[in-house]
Amino acid sequence: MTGVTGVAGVPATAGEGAGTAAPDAGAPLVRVRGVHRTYGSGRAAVHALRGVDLDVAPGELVALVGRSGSGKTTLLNVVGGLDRPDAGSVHVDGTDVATLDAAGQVRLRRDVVAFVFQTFGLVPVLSAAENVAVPLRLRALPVADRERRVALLLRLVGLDGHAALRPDELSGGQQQRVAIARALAGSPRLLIADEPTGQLDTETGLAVMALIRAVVEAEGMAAVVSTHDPVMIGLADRAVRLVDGRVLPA
Amino acid sequence: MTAAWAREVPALALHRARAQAPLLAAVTATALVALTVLATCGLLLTAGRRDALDAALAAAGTGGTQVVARVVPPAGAVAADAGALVPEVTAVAADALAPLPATVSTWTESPLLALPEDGSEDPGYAYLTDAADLAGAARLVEGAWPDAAAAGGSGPVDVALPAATAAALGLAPGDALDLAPSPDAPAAADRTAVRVVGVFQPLHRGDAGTPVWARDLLGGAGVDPGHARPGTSGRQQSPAYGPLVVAPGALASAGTGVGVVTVALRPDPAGASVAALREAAEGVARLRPALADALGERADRTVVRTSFPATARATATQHAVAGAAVLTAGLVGVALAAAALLLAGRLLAARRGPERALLLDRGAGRRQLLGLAGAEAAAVVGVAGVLAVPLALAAYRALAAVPLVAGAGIAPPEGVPGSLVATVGVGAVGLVLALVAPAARRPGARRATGPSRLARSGGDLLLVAVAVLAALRLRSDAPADAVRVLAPVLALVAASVLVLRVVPLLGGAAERGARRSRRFVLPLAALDAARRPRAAVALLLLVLAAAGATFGAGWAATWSRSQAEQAEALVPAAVVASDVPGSPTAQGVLVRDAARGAALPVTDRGTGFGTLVASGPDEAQPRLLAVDTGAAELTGRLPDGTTWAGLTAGLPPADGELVAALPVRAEGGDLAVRLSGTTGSEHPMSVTPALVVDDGHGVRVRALGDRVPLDGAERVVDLATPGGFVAPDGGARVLAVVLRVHTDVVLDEGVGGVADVAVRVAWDPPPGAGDAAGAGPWSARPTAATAENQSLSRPEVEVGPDGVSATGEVDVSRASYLPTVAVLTSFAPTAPLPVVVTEDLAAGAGLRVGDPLEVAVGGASLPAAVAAVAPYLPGAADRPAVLADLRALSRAAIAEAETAPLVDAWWLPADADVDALRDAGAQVTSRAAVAGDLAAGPLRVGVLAALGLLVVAAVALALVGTALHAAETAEDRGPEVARLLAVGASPRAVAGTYVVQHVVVDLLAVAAGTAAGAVVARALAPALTISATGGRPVPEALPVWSWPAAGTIAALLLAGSAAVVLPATAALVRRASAAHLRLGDAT
Repeated sequence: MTGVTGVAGVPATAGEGAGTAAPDAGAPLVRVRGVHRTYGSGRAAVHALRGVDLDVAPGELVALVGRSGSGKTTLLNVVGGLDRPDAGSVHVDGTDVATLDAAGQVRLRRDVVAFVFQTFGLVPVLSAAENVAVPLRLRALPVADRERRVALLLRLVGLDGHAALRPDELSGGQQQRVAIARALAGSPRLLIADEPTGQLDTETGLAVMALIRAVVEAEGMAAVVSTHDPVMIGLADRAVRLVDGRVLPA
Repeated sequence: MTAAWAREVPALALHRARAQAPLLAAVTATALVALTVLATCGLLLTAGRRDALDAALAAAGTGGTQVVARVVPPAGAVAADAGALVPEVTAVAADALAPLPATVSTWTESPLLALPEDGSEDPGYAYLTDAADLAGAARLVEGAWPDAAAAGGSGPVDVALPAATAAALGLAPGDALDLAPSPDAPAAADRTAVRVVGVFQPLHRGDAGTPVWARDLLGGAGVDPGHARPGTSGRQQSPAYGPLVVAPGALASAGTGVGVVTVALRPDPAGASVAALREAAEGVARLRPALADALGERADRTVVRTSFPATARATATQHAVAGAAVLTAGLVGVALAAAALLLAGRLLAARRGPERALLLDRGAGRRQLLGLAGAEAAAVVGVAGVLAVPLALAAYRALAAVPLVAGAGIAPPEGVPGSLVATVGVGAVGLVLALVAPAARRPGARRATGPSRLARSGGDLLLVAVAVLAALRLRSDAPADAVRVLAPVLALVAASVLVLRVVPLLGGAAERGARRSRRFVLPLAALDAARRPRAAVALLLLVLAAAGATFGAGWAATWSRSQAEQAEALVPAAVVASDVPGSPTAQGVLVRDAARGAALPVTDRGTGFGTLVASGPDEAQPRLLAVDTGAAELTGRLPDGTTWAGLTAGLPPADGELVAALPVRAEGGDLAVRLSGTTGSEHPMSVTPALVVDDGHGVRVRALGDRVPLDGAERVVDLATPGGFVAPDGGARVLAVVLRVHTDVVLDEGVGGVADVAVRVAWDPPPGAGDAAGAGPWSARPTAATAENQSLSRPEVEVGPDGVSATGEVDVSRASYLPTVAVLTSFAPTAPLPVVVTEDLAAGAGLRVGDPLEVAVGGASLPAAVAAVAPYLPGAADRPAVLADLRALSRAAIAEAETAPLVDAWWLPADADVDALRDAGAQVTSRAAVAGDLAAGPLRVGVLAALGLLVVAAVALALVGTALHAAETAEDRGPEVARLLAVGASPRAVAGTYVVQHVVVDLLAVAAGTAAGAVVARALAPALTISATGGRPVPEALPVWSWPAAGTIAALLLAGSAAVVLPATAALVRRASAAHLRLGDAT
C-alpha cells in the first residue's frame, strides 16, 4: 500500500471555495439536537436514535463509537441526508437537513457532504478514475478540469498508477482509497465515513485511517467516522459513544 | 441432518413462498405463458393439422380422390362377362386404396353401335350406358329419365341423351332410332331399337369437384366428330354420339353386349393419417398393372383415371409444410420460454443467494438444496401446468374462431385431448430443469472462463455451420420434412447468436463517446451498457423474439404474396370459361353477352412438340396456349426487365386477313356453296370442299361439304358446321377454302398421268356486300403432306366477290391413294409459327430463340419457331407449354388443312356474368376465387395461423423475459443506486441512466433481431413457400418484407419493454435506501 505522504501538498481546486473555506470558529458545522429515529411500529418498533445531540466543528474529526445496533449508521445517515429523523433537528453547514426537500437533499450530498462506506461503494463497471470523477460529472465540470482533478486526487491517495483499474482489480484498501478520493472530489465540507476500515486488514485499515486524518487536515473539512477501531479512535479529535441510540456523556 | 432436513423442508419452503409470493407469482406466470404457448402449438400441430388434413382432402373432392378404372373386355363380351368383372375390379381397386375405405359405383357402356344410314358419308356411332350417380351430374331438360320398371321388355330400349347429342342427331323425346352392330360389337343384336324418352344437360363436366363425366367415353361432351372408328384401331375417325342412358340394369336386356365396365371408387380419407394416404397413393399408382395381372385375358384394355396420387402427394407436402410452420413457432417458443425460465431461475437463485449460503453454512448439502429447488420448481410449474391446459384450450378456441382458420375446418377439440396434456407434461419437465439449472450452479461461478468462452465460440460456429447446411438443404429441390422444420429454427437461433456477438461490439464506440462527455446520465448509461452487457440470456431472448416474430411476419408476407402470384399464373384471366356448350360461334354469342363484348377466344389444349416425348404424369403433358396476344393482357411476374408485351411482341401476324376475307350469307346459320369442277383426266375424280368461316368476331369454324364429282356440273352443297354456325352481326366471312381432290378409283402409280383440275366454289354474299374484296391477296398452295406426295403442282386461285376458282395439276394415281389437298387462303403463305416456349420445355428439348420446332394441332404438325423463352406461361404454370397468337396459329393450321375449331376456352373480364355462364353449363374459373382457395386452403391456413402464433408468442415471451430481467437487474442494482444517490446524483439522473441504458440496448437488440429475422426470411421464406400441389411455386416465390409488420413488432417489443422497465427502474430508485449502503458488491 502506498503511503499518504504528499497529501498536504494537494491544492484545493479553484472555484471550490465551499470545501475549502475556513470554518466559522463560532458555529459548529454539524449541529444535532434531540434527534429520534424509529424503524417499524408497535411491538416491532426499533428505536435507533433516542434524543441524540451532537456538534461537530469545522476541521474536527469525530469518531462515533458504539456496538452494533447502537445507532451509529442511523445517525450518520440522518446527518448526511440519507435518512430523516422522526423528531429533532439536524443542521449541517447552517442548513436544516431534516426539512430539506428532495432537491435540497441532493444538493446537500453533492456539495456539502461526502460519504465513505464500509463496503467502499464504488460503481463496479467504472474504473478508479471514473469512480472518482462521478461527483465531478454531476457538476458537469469540463472534461480537462475533471481529468486534472481526478489525477490529483488519485495521486493524493497514492493510486495514480491505478487509474484505469476497475474495483474488482483493486485490493480492499485500494478500493477504499478510491472511495476516499471520490469523497474528496467534490471538495465537501463534511466527510461521513461509516466503518471505513471494517472490511480491511489491520495494516490497510491503519493506512486508510491515516489517510482520512491527513485529508481532513489538508482539506480543512470536518469528519464523522463510525468505528470500532481503537487506532482510529486514537486518531480522532474526540470520540462520541452511542449506546442504544443515546449519546453517553463524555 | 437428513431427517432433520426432511422435517424442516416443508416449513422452510412454505415460509419462503409466503415471503417471496410476488416473485413466485412472476415465475409461475412466466411458466404459464410458456406452457400455454407450447400447448397451443401442440394443439395446432395435432388436432389442428388433423382437422386441416381432413378439410383439405374433403376440399379435394371427388375429383381429387376418385379412382376410375375403365376395363374394356374382349370384343363380344356380354352382360354376364361384365357382371363377373365388376367385383374383381372392385376388389383389386379397393385393395389398392387400402387402408382407406371407399364407396363403389359402376357404369357399364355398350360398345359403339352403328347409327343408321342417313345419306351422309359417315353417319357415325353411338353407345348406350347404364349409369349410376347421374342425379347430381345431369339436369333433365326435356322428357323423362328411362323408367327401370319398364325396362326388360321386348320393345325398344328407353334412353335419355345429352342435349348436344340430341341436337347433333336431330332427336327429341318420342323419336326412335335403330342401332346396328359394329366391328366393336360383334355380340350385339342385329338391331337395337331405342326410343328417346328424355334429353338432359350434363352438369359440372370439367368441374374437378364432381367429375362424374370422367367415367364417360366422351367425357359428357355428347359428340365427338373425330372419334376413333371401330375396327380401325384408331387409324380412321368417325363421329361418335352418346351416352344414350338406359334405365338402371337395362343394358343387359338391350342385347348390345358390353364395351366398357367402369368402376369408380370414392375413398373416404376422413381421419386417415398421412402415412395411410401415402400407402393408398402408392397402391393406386400400381393399380393399372395390378388390374392387368388380375384380369388377364378377360380384359382387352384397362385404363385408370385418377388424381388421387397427386392429391395425396400435394396434401402430404402441405401437411408437412404446415407442420414445419407450427413446429418452427413451437420450437422458437420453446427457446424463448427456456430463456425466460432461465432468467426466472436466475432471479430466484439471486434472491436466495444469502439464504442458500446460510443453509450451506448450517450444513445443508448442495444436493439437498437442489432437491428443495427442484421441489419448489415442480410445484410452481405444476400450478402453471394445471392452469395452462384450460388456457391453451381457450387460446386455441380463440384461434379457431378467427374466420380464416374456422373456414379451413379447424375446430376446437371436444374435451381435453390427451396430446394437450402430454405436451404440457413434457414442457413442464423442461421448464423445471430450466428453473433448477441456476440453483445448481456453484457459488461464484458466474464468469465464463477462457476455455468455456472458447467452447462457447466453437459451439456458436458449429451452430452457424449446421444452420447454413440446413438452409442450403432447404433450398434444394426436395427437402425432407425434418429439414423444413429444423432449417428455420436453426437459422433463427444461429442468427440470434451471431447478433449477440455483434451487439456488444457497438459498446466500444459508445464507451469512447462517454469518456469525452462532461455529463452524467448518457455517459454513465453508455459506459454501463458497454461494460456490463445485458445478461446473454436476456439479450438472446429479445433478439430471438424480434428475429422470430419478424421472420414469421416475413414468411407470412412472402407466402401470401406468392399465393396471389400463383393464382395469377394459374388463371390467365380474371375469369376463364371452358366447356362452354355449343359450337365456337354459339359459345361466342354466350360469352360476349356474359362479358359485355369483352371476351377472348383461347386455344388451351394438350399438345406435342415434334419428336419431344413428354414424360411424367398426365398433368405434366405440354400445353398449347393461343390467344389474341395483342388484345390479351397477360399477367404474372416475370424476371426484371422482361415483360409479357415484350415476349409476345413477335407473335401476331402483321396483317389482318379479314380485309381479304370474302363475305358470305349465313342467315340462320345455314351455309351452302355452289360447287363445280372439271378434270382433264379420263378417270373419275371428285372434290370435297371445306370452308373456314369467321363469325366477324375472330371465331372461326369449319364448314364441311360433301364430296362432289368433278364433272363440270354445278351443284349446291350444303355445308355442315358441327354444333351450328352463328354470325349474329351478319359478319360471316370466308377466310379459306380447302379442297380435297380424290381420284375415285384406285390406280397404280403413274397410271392416269397428270390432269388439269379446275374447281369453282361460289356462295351468296350477304345483301349489300360490295365487290372490292375480290381483289384480295388470296393464295393457293398444297399442304405439306400433298407437297410431299408431289400430287399437286401449279396451284392457283382467282377470287371474285362471290367465290373462288382454283386450278392446278393433279397426279391422278397418287390422288387415288391420298387426297390431293389445295388450300386457298385470304392471307399470304405463313412463315413458321412464332411461339413463346417455357424454360422447362426449352431446357428439355434443347431449344433456343430462333430454333425450329413442330407443334401438334389436331392431326397436323405445324412448323414453328421459338420467338422467346418465358419462365412459365399463364394458365399453364406447372408444366411445359407453348404460347402462340391465335390468328397466327389459325393461319398455320389452315395452311395444313387443319380446320377444326381452335377455341377451347374464353378469357373474360372480372365483371363477367359468371352465373349465367355456369347456368349454361360452362366451367368457370375465377382468378379471385383461386387466389382465395390458395390463400385459405385448409392446410395453408395452418401455416398462417402458426406464423401468427409465432409472432404473438415471441412478443409475449420476450416481454415476460424482459420483466424478469428488469426484476433481476433491480435486485442487483439496489446498492449501486444507493451509492450514486449518496454521492449526489439525483433520483431522476440515476433513473435516467438505467432507462437510457435499457432503451438503447433494447433498441439495438430489437433492431439486430429484426435484421436477423429479415435475413432468415429472405433466405428461407421462399423455400418454405409451396404451391397448391406441394411443389415449388410458379412464379418462383420472392421474399417479401413487410415493413409495417416488422415495424409493429419492433414497436410492440420496445413499447412493452419500456412499459416493463420504466416502473421497475422507478421502483428501484424509490426503494434504494441507506440500508443498501452497507451491502457489498457481492450482492
